[in-house]
Amino acid sequence: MNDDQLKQVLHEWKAEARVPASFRANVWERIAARQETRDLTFAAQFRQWLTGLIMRPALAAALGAVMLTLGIGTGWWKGSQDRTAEWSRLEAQYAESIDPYARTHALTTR
Amino acid sequence: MKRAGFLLALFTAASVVAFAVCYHFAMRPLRAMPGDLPTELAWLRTEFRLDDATFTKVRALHDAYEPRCMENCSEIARVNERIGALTMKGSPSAAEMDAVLAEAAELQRKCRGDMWRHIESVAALLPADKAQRYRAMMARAIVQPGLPYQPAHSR
Repeated sequence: MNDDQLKQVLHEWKAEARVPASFRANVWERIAARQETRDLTFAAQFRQWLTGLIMRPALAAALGAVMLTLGIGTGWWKGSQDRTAEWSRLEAQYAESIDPYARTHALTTR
Repeated sequence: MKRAGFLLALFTAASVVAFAVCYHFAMRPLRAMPGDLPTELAWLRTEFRLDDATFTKVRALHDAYEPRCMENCSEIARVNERIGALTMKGSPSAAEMDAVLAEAAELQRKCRGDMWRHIESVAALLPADKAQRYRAMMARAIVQPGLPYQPAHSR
Protein backbone atom coordinates (compact mmCIF):
# COMPACT_ATOMS: atom_id res chain seq x y z
CA MET A 1 0.00 0.00 0.00
CA ASN A 2 1.47 3.32 -1.05
CA ASP A 3 0.99 6.63 0.74
CA ASP A 4 -1.90 7.76 -1.44
CA GLN A 5 -3.79 4.55 -0.80
CA LEU A 6 -3.16 4.84 2.94
CA LYS A 7 -4.42 8.42 2.95
CA GLN A 8 -7.52 7.27 1.09
CA VAL A 9 -8.23 4.48 3.60
CA LEU A 10 -7.74 6.80 6.57
CA HIS A 11 -9.98 9.39 4.95
CA GLU A 12 -12.79 6.88 4.47
CA TRP A 13 -12.44 5.22 7.91
CA LYS A 14 -15.03 6.18 10.48
CA ALA A 15 -14.68 5.17 14.10
CA GLU A 16 -17.96 3.98 15.54
CA ALA A 17 -17.68 4.04 19.33
CA ARG A 18 -20.46 2.00 20.95
CA VAL A 19 -21.16 3.00 24.53
CA PRO A 20 -23.76 1.32 26.73
CA ALA A 21 -27.07 3.13 27.06
CA SER A 22 -26.48 3.61 30.80
CA PHE A 23 -23.00 5.11 30.28
CA ARG A 24 -24.00 8.71 30.99
CA ALA A 25 -26.04 7.77 34.04
CA ASN A 26 -23.20 5.64 35.43
CA VAL A 27 -20.68 8.43 34.97
CA TRP A 28 -22.89 10.93 36.81
CA GLU A 29 -23.54 8.42 39.56
CA ARG A 30 -19.82 7.92 40.10
CA ILE A 31 -19.16 11.64 40.07
CA ALA A 32 -21.89 12.13 42.67
CA ALA A 33 -20.47 9.35 44.88
CA ARG A 34 -16.97 10.88 44.70
CA GLN A 35 -18.36 14.29 45.54
CA GLU A 36 -20.22 12.82 48.51
CA THR A 37 -17.05 11.14 49.87
CA ARG A 38 -15.08 14.37 49.48
CA ASP A 39 -17.73 16.28 51.43
CA LEU A 40 -17.66 13.82 54.39
CA THR A 41 -15.91 14.85 57.60
CA PHE A 42 -12.89 12.94 58.77
CA ALA A 43 -14.97 11.19 61.47
CA ALA A 44 -17.58 10.14 58.96
CA GLN A 45 -14.91 8.83 56.59
CA PHE A 46 -13.34 6.89 59.45
CA ARG A 47 -16.74 5.46 60.38
CA GLN A 48 -17.31 4.46 56.77
CA TRP A 49 -13.88 2.82 56.62
CA LEU A 50 -14.48 0.98 59.90
CA THR A 51 -17.89 -0.20 58.78
CA GLY A 52 -16.37 -1.54 55.59
CA LEU A 53 -13.73 -3.30 57.65
CA ILE A 54 -16.16 -4.89 60.10
CA MET A 55 -18.39 -6.13 57.35
CA ARG A 56 -15.61 -8.46 56.22
CA PRO A 57 -15.85 -11.58 58.44
CA ALA A 58 -12.12 -12.27 58.61
CA LEU A 59 -11.27 -8.69 59.57
CA ALA A 60 -14.17 -8.55 62.05
CA ALA A 61 -12.84 -11.69 63.75
CA ALA A 62 -9.34 -10.21 63.86
CA LEU A 63 -10.62 -6.95 65.36
CA GLY A 64 -12.61 -8.91 67.96
CA ALA A 65 -9.52 -10.94 68.88
CA VAL A 66 -7.36 -7.83 69.19
CA MET A 67 -9.90 -6.05 71.42
CA LEU A 68 -10.30 -9.13 73.62
CA THR A 69 -6.53 -9.51 73.94
CA LEU A 70 -6.24 -5.83 74.84
CA GLY A 71 -8.90 -6.24 77.52
CA ILE A 72 -7.18 -9.29 79.01
CA GLY A 73 -3.70 -7.73 78.83
CA THR A 74 -4.58 -4.37 80.32
CA GLY A 75 -6.79 -5.97 82.99
CA TRP A 76 -4.00 -8.25 84.14
CA TRP A 77 -1.33 -5.55 83.92
CA LYS A 78 -3.39 -2.98 85.87
CA GLY A 79 -4.37 -5.62 88.44
CA SER A 80 -0.72 -6.61 88.95
CA GLN A 81 0.34 -2.97 89.30
CA ASP A 82 -2.38 -2.21 91.85
CA ARG A 83 -1.72 -5.43 93.76
CA THR A 84 2.03 -4.73 94.00
CA ALA A 85 1.40 -1.15 95.14
CA GLU A 86 -1.14 -2.23 97.76
CA TRP A 87 1.13 -5.06 98.96
CA SER A 88 4.03 -2.65 99.39
CA ARG A 89 1.77 -0.25 101.27
CA LEU A 90 0.75 -3.04 103.67
CA GLU A 91 4.38 -4.07 104.19
CA ALA A 92 5.26 -0.46 105.01
CA GLN A 93 2.28 -0.32 107.37
CA TYR A 94 3.57 -3.36 109.27
CA ALA A 95 7.10 -1.93 109.44
CA GLU A 96 5.65 1.35 110.72
CA SER A 97 3.63 -0.51 113.38
CA ILE A 98 6.83 -1.71 115.06
CA ASP A 99 8.95 1.42 114.49
CA PRO A 100 8.23 4.05 117.17
CA TYR A 101 10.00 6.77 115.15
CA ALA A 102 7.81 6.13 112.11
CA ARG A 103 4.73 6.06 114.31
CA THR A 104 5.68 9.30 116.02
CA HIS A 105 6.26 10.90 112.63
CA ALA A 106 2.90 9.59 111.38
CA LEU A 107 1.11 10.79 114.51
CA THR A 108 2.62 14.27 114.42
CA THR A 109 2.02 14.78 110.68
CA ARG A 110 -1.61 13.59 110.69
CA MET B 1 -24.13 -0.08 59.20
CA LYS B 2 -26.39 -1.40 61.96
CA ARG B 3 -24.63 -4.75 61.96
CA ALA B 4 -21.24 -3.05 62.12
CA GLY B 5 -22.39 -0.96 65.10
CA PHE B 6 -23.68 -4.04 66.85
CA LEU B 7 -20.41 -5.91 66.28
CA LEU B 8 -18.36 -2.97 67.51
CA ALA B 9 -20.50 -2.69 70.66
CA LEU B 10 -20.19 -6.45 71.21
CA PHE B 11 -16.38 -6.35 70.88
CA THR B 12 -16.16 -3.37 73.23
CA ALA B 13 -18.35 -5.10 75.81
CA ALA B 14 -16.28 -8.29 75.54
CA SER B 15 -13.10 -6.25 76.00
CA VAL B 16 -14.46 -4.50 79.09
CA VAL B 17 -15.62 -7.81 80.61
CA ALA B 18 -12.20 -9.38 79.89
CA PHE B 19 -10.52 -6.39 81.62
CA ALA B 20 -12.76 -6.70 84.69
CA VAL B 21 -12.31 -10.48 85.01
CA CYS B 22 -8.51 -10.33 84.66
CA TYR B 23 -8.25 -7.38 87.08
CA HIS B 24 -10.36 -9.32 89.58
CA PHE B 25 -8.09 -12.38 89.32
CA ALA B 26 -4.90 -10.32 89.55
CA MET B 27 -6.16 -8.74 92.80
CA ARG B 28 -7.23 -12.09 94.31
CA PRO B 29 -4.27 -12.46 96.76
CA LEU B 30 -5.33 -9.22 98.46
CA ARG B 31 -8.91 -10.35 98.84
CA ALA B 32 -7.67 -13.65 100.29
CA MET B 33 -6.21 -11.80 103.30
CA PRO B 34 -8.05 -12.44 106.58
CA GLY B 35 -10.47 -9.56 107.07
CA ASP B 36 -10.89 -9.93 110.82
CA LEU B 37 -7.31 -8.84 111.61
CA PRO B 38 -5.61 -5.44 111.67
CA THR B 39 -4.28 -4.99 108.14
CA GLU B 40 -0.59 -5.04 109.14
CA LEU B 41 -1.02 -8.41 110.90
CA ALA B 42 -3.15 -9.77 108.05
CA TRP B 43 -0.31 -8.81 105.70
CA LEU B 44 2.28 -10.55 107.93
CA ARG B 45 0.21 -13.72 108.10
CA THR B 46 -0.38 -13.83 104.31
CA GLU B 47 3.14 -12.79 103.28
CA PHE B 48 4.82 -15.48 105.42
CA ARG B 49 2.01 -18.05 105.11
CA LEU B 50 1.84 -18.52 108.88
CA ASP B 51 -0.21 -21.41 110.26
CA ASP B 52 -2.71 -20.82 113.06
CA ALA B 53 -0.38 -21.90 115.88
CA THR B 54 2.55 -19.76 114.71
CA PHE B 55 0.36 -16.78 113.99
CA THR B 56 -1.22 -16.93 117.46
CA LYS B 57 2.27 -16.69 119.00
CA VAL B 58 3.34 -13.93 116.61
CA ARG B 59 0.20 -11.97 117.43
CA ALA B 60 0.79 -12.39 121.18
CA LEU B 61 4.32 -10.96 120.71
CA HIS B 62 2.97 -8.09 118.62
CA ASP B 63 0.31 -7.26 121.23
CA ALA B 64 2.87 -7.42 124.05
CA TYR B 65 5.25 -5.11 122.16
CA GLU B 66 2.52 -2.58 121.34
CA PRO B 67 2.36 -0.73 124.74
CA ARG B 68 6.18 -0.58 124.88
CA CYS B 69 6.25 0.85 121.38
CA MET B 70 3.60 3.44 122.26
CA GLU B 71 5.55 4.41 125.37
CA ASN B 72 8.65 4.91 123.23
CA CYS B 73 6.56 7.02 120.82
CA SER B 74 5.54 9.35 123.67
CA GLU B 75 9.15 9.64 124.83
CA ILE B 76 10.34 10.44 121.30
CA ALA B 77 7.63 13.10 120.91
CA ARG B 78 8.57 14.61 124.32
CA VAL B 79 12.31 14.77 123.57
CA ASN B 80 11.67 16.12 120.05
CA GLU B 81 9.52 18.83 121.55
CA ARG B 82 12.29 19.76 124.00
CA ILE B 83 14.87 19.94 121.20
CA GLY B 84 12.46 22.08 119.17
CA ALA B 85 11.76 24.39 122.12
CA LEU B 86 15.47 24.82 122.88
CA THR B 87 16.25 25.58 119.25
CA MET B 88 13.45 28.14 119.03
CA LYS B 89 14.58 29.76 122.28
CA GLY B 90 17.35 31.55 120.47
CA SER B 91 20.73 30.64 121.83
CA PRO B 92 20.49 27.71 124.25
CA SER B 93 23.57 26.88 126.25
CA ALA B 94 25.77 24.13 124.86
CA ALA B 95 25.36 22.16 128.09
CA GLU B 96 21.56 22.32 127.85
CA MET B 97 21.61 21.23 124.21
CA ASP B 98 24.16 18.48 124.85
CA ALA B 99 22.01 17.12 127.65
CA VAL B 100 18.85 16.90 125.58
CA LEU B 101 20.72 15.47 122.56
CA ALA B 102 22.29 12.85 124.81
CA GLU B 103 18.83 12.00 126.06
CA ALA B 104 17.62 11.69 122.42
CA ALA B 105 20.55 9.43 121.55
CA GLU B 106 19.93 7.26 124.59
CA LEU B 107 16.26 7.06 123.70
CA GLN B 108 17.11 6.04 120.15
CA ARG B 109 19.44 3.31 121.44
CA LYS B 110 16.62 2.01 123.65
CA CYS B 111 13.99 2.15 120.87
CA ARG B 112 16.20 0.45 118.32
CA GLY B 113 17.10 -2.20 120.91
CA ASP B 114 13.44 -2.85 121.69
CA MET B 115 12.65 -3.04 117.98
CA TRP B 116 15.53 -5.40 117.29
CA ARG B 117 14.52 -7.68 120.20
CA HIS B 118 10.93 -7.75 118.95
CA ILE B 119 12.03 -8.58 115.40
CA GLU B 120 14.29 -11.33 116.72
CA SER B 121 11.49 -12.83 118.85
CA VAL B 122 9.15 -12.92 115.83
CA ALA B 123 11.89 -14.36 113.60
CA ALA B 124 12.56 -17.08 116.19
CA LEU B 125 9.02 -18.38 115.63
CA LEU B 126 9.44 -18.68 111.85
CA PRO B 127 11.15 -21.41 109.83
CA ALA B 128 14.77 -20.50 109.01
CA ASP B 129 14.19 -19.27 105.42
CA LYS B 130 11.19 -17.15 106.35
CA ALA B 131 12.99 -15.82 109.44
CA GLN B 132 15.87 -14.67 107.28
CA ARG B 133 13.52 -12.96 104.82
CA TYR B 134 11.62 -11.31 107.69
CA ARG B 135 14.87 -10.03 109.23
CA ALA B 136 16.02 -8.67 105.87
CA MET B 137 12.72 -6.84 105.37
CA MET B 138 12.67 -5.33 108.84
CA ALA B 139 16.38 -4.53 109.02
CA ARG B 140 15.76 -1.25 107.22
CA ALA B 141 13.47 -0.12 110.02
CA ILE B 142 16.28 -0.67 112.55
CA VAL B 143 19.05 0.80 110.41
CA GLN B 144 17.11 3.95 109.57
CA PRO B 145 14.21 4.27 112.00
CA GLY B 146 11.59 6.84 111.15
CA LEU B 147 12.38 7.10 107.48
CA PRO B 148 9.56 6.28 105.06
CA TYR B 149 9.69 2.52 104.59
CA GLN B 150 10.54 1.45 101.03
CA PRO B 151 9.71 -2.19 100.36
CA ALA B 152 12.46 -3.78 98.29
CA HIS B 153 10.47 -6.64 96.88
CA SER B 154 7.40 -6.75 94.71
CA ARG B 155 4.73 -9.36 94.65
